[in-house]
Amino acid sequence: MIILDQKGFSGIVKHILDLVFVGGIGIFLSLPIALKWYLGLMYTRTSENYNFLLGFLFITGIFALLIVNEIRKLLKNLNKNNPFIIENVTCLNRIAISCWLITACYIIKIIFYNSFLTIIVAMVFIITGLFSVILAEVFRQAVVVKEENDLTI
Amino acid sequence: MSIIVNLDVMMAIRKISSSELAAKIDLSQANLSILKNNKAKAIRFSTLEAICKALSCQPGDILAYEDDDHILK
Repeated sequence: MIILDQKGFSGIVKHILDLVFVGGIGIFLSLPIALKWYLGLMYTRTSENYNFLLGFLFITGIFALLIVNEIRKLLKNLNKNNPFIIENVTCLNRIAISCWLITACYIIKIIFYNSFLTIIVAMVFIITGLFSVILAEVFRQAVVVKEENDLTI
Repeated sequence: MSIIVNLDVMMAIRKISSSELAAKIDLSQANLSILKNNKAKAIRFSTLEAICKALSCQPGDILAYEDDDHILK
């Protein structure tokens, strides 16, 4: 199976992310109702405040949607069979910043409403952010090499 | 850049057009244009060899070195 192509693996991933993005926007907009419904479903009363959770999910939701959108842009560029362009470096750096902002939100949540899962998610986002920065640097170096190669006649 | 490509001068002497030369040395017109306009960062020996063969000249006839500081003065 071809990995980098419109009809290949990255094309399928792009379509899945399109659905995730649209679904994410839907969930984001219906968050006040969805959260009330979800909290009502839970058997045990949660100690977490509804307003705090709503604000927290709105802020992290925006960043999560930004990340999904940036990955969509990245995959769109990859599908054009031209992966080493400076736009992809910018995309990866933006993903890293969004990841760290989500981590900051989760650290605030750890302070007020600590849970084991919150710590795990915060750790995952820190590592994803670090990995994105490294990947962005790899892409940047690849862009330089590609430009050099393109201008070698 | 201190290395100047004088390809157009040699092409004028030999009375050969860009498209003719590109076809002769099996290079795209776009790449030949990059080379002619001094936008290239490097040139492969194989390309240089093909150009020299097509134009019956030496590498020194198409490449020249100019001191950057000298140009600034």
